[in-house]
Amino acid sequence: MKRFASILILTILVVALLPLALVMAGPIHTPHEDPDAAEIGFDISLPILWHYADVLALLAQGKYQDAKDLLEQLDLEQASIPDDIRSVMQAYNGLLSDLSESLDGLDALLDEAELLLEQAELEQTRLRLAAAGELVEEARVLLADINEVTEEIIRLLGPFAPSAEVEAVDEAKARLREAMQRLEELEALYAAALQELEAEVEQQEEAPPETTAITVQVDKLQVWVGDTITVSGILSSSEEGKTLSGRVITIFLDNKISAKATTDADGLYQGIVDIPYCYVNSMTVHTEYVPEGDDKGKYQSCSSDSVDVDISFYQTRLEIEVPEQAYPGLPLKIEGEIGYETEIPPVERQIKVLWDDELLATFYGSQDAFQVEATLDAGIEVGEYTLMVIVEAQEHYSDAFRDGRLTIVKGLPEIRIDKVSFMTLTRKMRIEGQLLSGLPLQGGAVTIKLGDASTVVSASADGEFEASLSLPLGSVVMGSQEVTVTAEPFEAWHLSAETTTKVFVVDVVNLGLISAAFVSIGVVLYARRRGKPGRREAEVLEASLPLPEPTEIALRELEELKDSRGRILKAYVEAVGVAEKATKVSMKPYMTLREFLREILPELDGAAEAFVELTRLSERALYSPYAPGEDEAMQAESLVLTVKEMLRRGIA
Amino acid sequence: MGLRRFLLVLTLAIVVVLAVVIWFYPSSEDFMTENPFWNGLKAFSERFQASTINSLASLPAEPEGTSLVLVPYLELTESEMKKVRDYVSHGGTLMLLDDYGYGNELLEYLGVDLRFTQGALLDPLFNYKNKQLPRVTDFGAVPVAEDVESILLNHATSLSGTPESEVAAWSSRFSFLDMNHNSTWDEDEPKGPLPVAAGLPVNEGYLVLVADPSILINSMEGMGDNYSFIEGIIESQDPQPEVLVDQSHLPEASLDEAKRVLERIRSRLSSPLGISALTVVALIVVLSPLWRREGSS
Repeated sequence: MKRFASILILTILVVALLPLALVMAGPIHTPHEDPDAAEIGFDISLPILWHYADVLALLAQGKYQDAKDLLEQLDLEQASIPDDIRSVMQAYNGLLSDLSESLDGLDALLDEAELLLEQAELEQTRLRLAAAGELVEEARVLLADINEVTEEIIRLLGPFAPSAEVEAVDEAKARLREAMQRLEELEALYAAALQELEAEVEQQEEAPPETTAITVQVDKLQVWVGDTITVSGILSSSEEGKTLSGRVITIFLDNKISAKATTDADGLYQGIVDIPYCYVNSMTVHTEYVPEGDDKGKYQSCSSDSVDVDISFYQTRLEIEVPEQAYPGLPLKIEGEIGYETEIPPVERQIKVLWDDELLATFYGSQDAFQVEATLDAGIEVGEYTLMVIVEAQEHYSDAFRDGRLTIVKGLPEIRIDKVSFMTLTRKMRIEGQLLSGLPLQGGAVTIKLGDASTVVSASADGEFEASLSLPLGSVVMGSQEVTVTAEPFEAWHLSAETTTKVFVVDVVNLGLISAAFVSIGVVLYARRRGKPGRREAEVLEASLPLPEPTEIALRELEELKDSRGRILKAYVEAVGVAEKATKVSMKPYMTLREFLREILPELDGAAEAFVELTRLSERALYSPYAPGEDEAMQAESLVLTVKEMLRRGIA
Repeated sequence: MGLRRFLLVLTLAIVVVLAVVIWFYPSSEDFMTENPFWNGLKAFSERFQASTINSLASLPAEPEGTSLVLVPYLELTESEMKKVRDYVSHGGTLMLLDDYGYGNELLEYLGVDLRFTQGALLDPLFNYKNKQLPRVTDFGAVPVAEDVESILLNHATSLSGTPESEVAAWSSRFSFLDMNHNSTWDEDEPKGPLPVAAGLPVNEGYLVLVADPSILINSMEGMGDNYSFIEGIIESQDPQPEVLVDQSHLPEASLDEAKRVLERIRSRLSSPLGISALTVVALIVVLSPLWRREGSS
């Protein structure tokens, strides 16, 4: 049975602990790894070589901005690269960036020099070529450094090429070196272009082109915006009295090309220029001649003096008043006034309201004060915003704008609890209250929570709500409980609000369970207590009833026994009776002969030896199959006499 | 005490001790909200006060203002996919995080063209420790969160069929999709930048796709700006949504099943019937010695 019990316990334990063992063995499907325990690995060789090969290729193609953009895509601070390689790459990136800027600048300078040379601006051309020469030298030095660092990077990345990528890495190295070579060819091309331009400059200096001059006149020196002016003048060469015909003249208004005109046979040109709706007080007009075609190298370019033209328009004045705070989803009132610096007839103007550069409202207003209401988007975030009011320009009327800062806030409604009660029998809590707010309120969702139980009710349009919450069995204990009321108003301009209140809960089930426990304990205690009085009653009964002493019963029964055993026992019983009287210790029904002997032995004094021997004989007669003889019966009767004698003496 | 009685008491004691151990021993399964270890969602669940749902039948009828986090590692039935579609159609935000699971079946059912490519996204240059843990630093047109500079993924995949306007995050140009799992880039394998997160409206709701559910696990949540990114995508439609985490489509270990059984037992016992039955049993146990004594007398 014990073995069965052991097997049973072992089986239960194994079955029960098996799931834990399986779990500890780890998940079967591993869609991830523990980042703390992940191994560090740098497979960086191939991507870095490709990256730099691409950058150098773009540089070699003259796509300097693209090359710089690509360089910036490898953010070395974020990349997972060993520190020694990172520092080399930082230096490499710096060199490539410098080279990109040098080549870009060189390209631009050579273009400028070429253009200036076409205009026979030899002095300016020389300046550009000198600067370009410095850049060519700089690029040459940079290229030498880049070549060196390229080899260093290839060397450093060598150990980081996985065996599976060796071929691809070799290919990438070849690409990088090829791109480097093409870059050196590009530098040589620039150097050749520079030399060519320098040679052309020298050539032009030996045979300088003829100088030219141009005059300018404007028909009106004061105009309204949107009007036109006529610009005219004469183009002539340095040769006295010689005007240049059939040449294109460019007319500039505030340094922007505004019109073109062609000189007539007398070198006279005339062009019409539209004055744009730019509400500025004055604009500058000038004209330019740039030699084209066969004129290149023959004539120098020239520019006229500047003529200022006053521009007239009505200056619009705008004042606005914006509230300091506004609410999402609620109308925002903006007030303002449009005015002019001079007395003019009022005209209807288009007014726009922009909210953080987004159009919020458009309306029309005149000279008088205006007022507009614009409703803000309900989803707008709380925070500070810029509101701008713009009066659009309209022909002779200039535009005007004003902006103001305002803060978007949300109102916090108040939750007023009017009544809260708990019904023990139905296990329901009732709560009544109202949402209050200084802003328009259209109701909301009100959540009532008590312990684990909760319910959601809707507040009416005037904010009133009433809820009944049924509590599940055993969800709360008896006593004062906290009720949490949360309100989520429907309106975007309100915040959520929360408040708490207390309710005294007497849960009938809990009460029942506690009562049942107390009743059970009471019953058990009562039962135990009832058990003890029972024993006492028995003792009382025992004491009160005149039950005969066991020795008396024994004597009556032993009268019938006439053999040796009977005589021995009779003697013993007699001795017990005498001993009881002498020692005041009675033999209880449950006592064995020896227990009784142990009880009275200290009191027997001289009778002890005889009583011990008598007890031994009686035990043998009682419990042994041995049949005592006559001599033993006589010995017992003698012993009882001795006991009697000794006890009597003792008493005396 | 007799042997029979001893065995009964011992068995009861073992059952109680095991129930307590199972109840309190935390789950160690992937993505479980009760799992406090590196691969669990306990930190995420606590941070966002997420509610765990063990069946898609528990999805709210009015889902506006809620976000459902779904990691479909087990196949969804058609009725479950319908529940998810209804959830999104009625204004819920579905955060579908997948790499090698059943996300594409759900996307097809939802009528969305986006897909999880299910290739391993490796980035040899921008990563944490190794290329299986790519670092993402390029965030796209969908505004997910301010102040997010980089996020870290863990054995991720990428998305396909994603218009640029719907992409929330891109892997670096050095990343690639390892379709044949040889850990190196091959000619026919797509190279970065590849979309790894996207967001798009679906009917009245919103769908957020992240090509790596591991971004949510305890050991990854604090990496880089992962927390801000997660917060951004969760709160993209509602500033304080109720977050629901579906656990019914994750493979369960026996421990989790046992926990689920205990949970059901507890639920039954806390019902009126269960409480009554417990009361009766308690009374019987307490009063049985008395009854026995009465019987013997």
